[in-house]
Amino acid sequence: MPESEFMLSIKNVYKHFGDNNVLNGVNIDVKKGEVVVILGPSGSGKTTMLRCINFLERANEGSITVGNYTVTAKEKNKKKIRNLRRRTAMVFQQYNLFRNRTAVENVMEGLVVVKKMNREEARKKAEDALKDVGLLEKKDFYPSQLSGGQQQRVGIARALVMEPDVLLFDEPTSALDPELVGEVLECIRTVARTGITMMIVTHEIAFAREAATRVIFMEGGVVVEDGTSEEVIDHPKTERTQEFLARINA
Amino acid sequence: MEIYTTCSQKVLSGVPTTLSLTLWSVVLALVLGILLSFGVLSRLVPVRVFFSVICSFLKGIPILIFLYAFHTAIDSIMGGLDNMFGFYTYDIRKPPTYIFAVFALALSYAPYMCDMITSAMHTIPKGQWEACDAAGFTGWQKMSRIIIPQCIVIAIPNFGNHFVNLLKASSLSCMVTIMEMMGEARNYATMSQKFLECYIVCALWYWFIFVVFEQAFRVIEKRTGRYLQPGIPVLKRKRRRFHMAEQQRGILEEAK
Repeated sequence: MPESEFMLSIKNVYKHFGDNNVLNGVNIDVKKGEVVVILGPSGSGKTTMLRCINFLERANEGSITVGNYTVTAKEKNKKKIRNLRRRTAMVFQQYNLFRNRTAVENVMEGLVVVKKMNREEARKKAEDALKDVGLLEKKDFYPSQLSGGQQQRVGIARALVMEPDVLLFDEPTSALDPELVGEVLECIRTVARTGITMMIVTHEIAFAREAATRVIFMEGGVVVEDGTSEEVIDHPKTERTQEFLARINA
Repeated sequence: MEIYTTCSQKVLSGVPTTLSLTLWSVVLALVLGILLSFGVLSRLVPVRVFFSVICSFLKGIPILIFLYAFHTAIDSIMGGLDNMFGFYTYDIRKPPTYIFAVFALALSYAPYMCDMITSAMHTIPKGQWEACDAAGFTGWQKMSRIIIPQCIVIAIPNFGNHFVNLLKASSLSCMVTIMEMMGEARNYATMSQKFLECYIVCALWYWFIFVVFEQAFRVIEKRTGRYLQPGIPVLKRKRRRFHMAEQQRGILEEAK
């Protein structure tokens, strides 16, 4: 099978923090346009796996391929890691918007700094992106002046505007109160329809069921189950998955 | 009454020296503090330990000792340099006391500046670094565009404190013959034999300068820290102008 068929390949990734083995050989291949939702109990290594993809956490073994660009876990060259990171974009649990930049400047920042776009052009593009997430009227607000849901939508716009090969969501709604979750999920849903490859770590089962084209269940640092949302959520094969879903649905 | 006005005049004639002394030593202390902070924040443990020890050493010594030590060493240092480079122009009757006082004050405040920088660094949330990394910033882009601007804002209140402390500490340099505010006041006090009056006048003028700087720093703090305060954004004038231009462009295009 030619490698380029997959947008993202995680090959044999191991990661341990001290004696704590978090990832024990994770293999995931994601096709272009797939929306992958990763489920699993706390401590199953979902977030760590996501962070290993863009080297925020350095895996101990294995390799990551985005598009046709492969970087092994032992890579020392910072430039190669940076190139890999530039092919991905991440939406964080705690939003992590640049505090000293307004909403529109947050979205512009990557375009200006990484893509070397001129400021006027970048501002226009950023405003379009903010319009897409419905926050154009808040463009001159600083993150501290926005609600959590609004901040997260700016975070999504910031990630989206970079036109990454793969968009990574690290529990995008976990820090939000229930009322604000809806607007963010709606925003992610809209993004999903554009056909961008996405990988979402979340606890929102209902969201996974409707938006995901593929669901992965992780436990103990390995992929336990992998299939469409129907297969994994409605008809789980392994006992552990059943147990987990039963507890969440209850 | 006359004694107060004359004394005031004397003290005010020392203000430029006090201010320039403070300013230069703050600048120098900041430069040294930045250098020290590189060492203290280093990844290599021996380097870190070495610079931490230097910091604690500098911090533990009274400013007056620095001033006296430098003052005592002026002739040998300057003479030595003079001989080493072969200028033979050093005039022992005119020692550069001012420069050495600046160095003494700067050295005693450098570790505080270093602390200010490192603590500001540590208050930047990890997420800010990660957001930069995830976007693919280089180390320099990350520091210059996101981390350092935030650090500066966090450090400003601390910096203001150090600045006014240094302003007050500069009065010690009258002990090494520098005629700044305190020096002038002492001089006049011995001349007129009205010690208490002179000291009170000098104290009041120090207080006045202190208030000016304190308020100035308060304003700076408020303006730069605007983005940390919740509420409705106050548009910067520059940005408003941009909007005008944008609107005008829209009208122009419509007209076409």
